[in-house]
Amino acid sequence: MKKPLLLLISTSLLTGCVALPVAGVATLAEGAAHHYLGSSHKTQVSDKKKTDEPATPVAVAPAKLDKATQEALMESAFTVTPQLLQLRSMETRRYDGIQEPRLLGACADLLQDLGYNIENTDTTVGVLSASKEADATDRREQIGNFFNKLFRRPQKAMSKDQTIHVSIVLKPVNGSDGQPLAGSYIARVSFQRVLRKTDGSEVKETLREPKLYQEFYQRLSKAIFLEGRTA
Amino acid sequence: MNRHMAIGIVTVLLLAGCSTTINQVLDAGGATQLQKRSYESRTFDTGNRETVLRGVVTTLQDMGFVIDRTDLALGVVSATKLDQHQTRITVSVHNKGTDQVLVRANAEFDITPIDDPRPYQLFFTALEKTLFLTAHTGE
Repeated sequence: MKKPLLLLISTSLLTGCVALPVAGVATLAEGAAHHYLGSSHKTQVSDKKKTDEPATPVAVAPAKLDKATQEALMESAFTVTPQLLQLRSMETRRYDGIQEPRLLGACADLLQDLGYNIENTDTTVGVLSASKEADATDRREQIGNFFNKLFRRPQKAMSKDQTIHVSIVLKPVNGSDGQPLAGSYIARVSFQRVLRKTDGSEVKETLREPKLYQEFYQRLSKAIFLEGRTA
Repeated sequence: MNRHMAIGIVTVLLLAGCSTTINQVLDAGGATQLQKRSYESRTFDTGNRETVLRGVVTTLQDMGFVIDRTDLALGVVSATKLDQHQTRITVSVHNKGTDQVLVRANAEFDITPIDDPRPYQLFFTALEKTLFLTAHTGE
């Protein structure tokens, strides 16, 4: 009597093992996503998110998309929309009368001033990428939840912390003959972030506030000026 | 007898676990390598790899990606887009002879590798516009 029972248990266990390779692609890709996020702290957060998935307030939960929706979203990720063109003009500024190393150096100094860790630099292409961990607590959310508690309404998940990613790309300006103009560059900065909430969910977004980009370029102009003075 | 059987089961389970990890690490997705290469790659009629690589960076930025890493010597660009979901892409740019450049892209959406040709088609069409060059399929 014991033998059939043992066999049954072992068969069910083995079935689980065989089913795993089918999900292999997903697991491998998830590992790569963790790699992108880098530190073990963030990996823990992502793992937590996985277990807390049902409570997530994010509009679409990644694991539960049907194939058609997923394909549509994949396509939209590679589509240049009018909003993206608007974002491009916010992200871009032209600098004249400056050499690329000095401009890139000023960008790196500014990012360090703002508390970012430089992750990658490529002086031949003119690319800088950096990121920082930052507090994301929002006073308005806290006040909202205070009133929720007061009126015995359910508490909402609040912003906790975030990882902000930034990249700066410098491109030489081409003259009318198609050749790069000496000392003229177009700088383009982009900000994105992963916002983590108190319930373990994450919000991934591109930052689109025009004021953010205006202020960044104001500070960059100051950094270039300062570097010119100290050099 | 029962103890032997239990040891046997545990061994089988452990071995099955090993092969699973290997499958996960070396899994190339559903499509064959040749199929994948055909929709993930295009060639451009130019000998200037740097121009193409800069074009790739511009195209990805226009699509809302943040550039994570570039290496002109290796000809590699990797970028991430965070917009509700996370899309990651790696593009490699290599010389093919002296007058052609081969561009290969591969991307993943959240935790799923993108094996639908359409997103790649959109990327290469946008790259064609940036470079003012026509992309050719096939390696």
